[in-house]
Amino acid sequence: MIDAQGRVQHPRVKHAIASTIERGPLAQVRGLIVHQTGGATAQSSLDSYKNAGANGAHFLIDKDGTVYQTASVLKRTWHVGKLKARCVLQKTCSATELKAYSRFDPSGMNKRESAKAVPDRFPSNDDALGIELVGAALPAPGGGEPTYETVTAAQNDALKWLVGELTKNLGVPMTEIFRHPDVSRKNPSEASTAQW
Amino acid sequence: MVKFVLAALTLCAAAGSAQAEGGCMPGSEFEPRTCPLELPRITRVTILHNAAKSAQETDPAVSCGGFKLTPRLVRRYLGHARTVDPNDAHHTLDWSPCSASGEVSFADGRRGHWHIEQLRSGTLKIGDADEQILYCPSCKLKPFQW
Repeated sequence: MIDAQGRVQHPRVKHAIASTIERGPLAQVRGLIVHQTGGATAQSSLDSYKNAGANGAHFLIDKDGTVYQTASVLKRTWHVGKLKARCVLQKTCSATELKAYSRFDPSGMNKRESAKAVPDRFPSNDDALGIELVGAALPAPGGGEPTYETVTAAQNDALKWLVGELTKNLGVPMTEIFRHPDVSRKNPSEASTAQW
Repeated sequence: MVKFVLAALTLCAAAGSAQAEGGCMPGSEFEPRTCPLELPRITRVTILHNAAKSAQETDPAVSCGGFKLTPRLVRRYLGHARTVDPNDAHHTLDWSPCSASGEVSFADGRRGHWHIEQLRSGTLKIGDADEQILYCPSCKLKPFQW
């Protein structure tokens, strides 16, 4: 299903590979991160990938469930951001780590976490594929802070299929699939309605 | 000596190429590409919400009391902030549960609404123009954290 160039060969996947968002080789996939784009259309994301220095993930799922592959699964993309500490969430930090993490320092935490291996840390840009679901972050009624719109049924259906295929073909355990705000500091509503 | 001169020239060339067209600076894995924010002279800054904690932050231990901006700090932020492509911001910038927001008036008569987060990102909407995503890489003094 995955060819030598890292492209998923399946009638359900449309190729829209943007080399502009690829950032070097990805040796082994150890996790999947589910995102929402923040934009209202797939085209706005695909257009943005043409910009110099653009960032994106490996797959993009439109509201109607159309699946685009936007980067090779053999290439890194910068889709995760600075890692949060997995041991804090799982309450498994050593005393030294707890002391280090008691001072708020996102860059320091990311550096410390990046020295670990999955599953002691969350999957990162080094070993995670990203799946974007098209979805805007809309201001709440009355001008409140932005909240991501609800993932459509067609998107969740496509996401479930894609996650199934990727985990099966790449040997990724289902325990290593996360929503973006679980692994890095992002709007907590991002992908909160995604299901796989 | 020749080696030193060559090294200096190489550094100068690298710095020049890093300064992309229009004063934009390239991004990195954890920093977005940024471009200059050009604003008229600020005449007035009003703070409407300060040390505000996001309703989406469910951890009761998170306190935003330390993120209090003053009009002077807001002017400083807007003076040093740079614009970021929304898609790039989405992938590289950290979300913060702590923020402040308010209004700003400019010497040309326009008015805008600003929103600034503790992890140095923000937004600025002037009149009917599209909202701009901001990031201030050099805002490394309290109450900002990075």
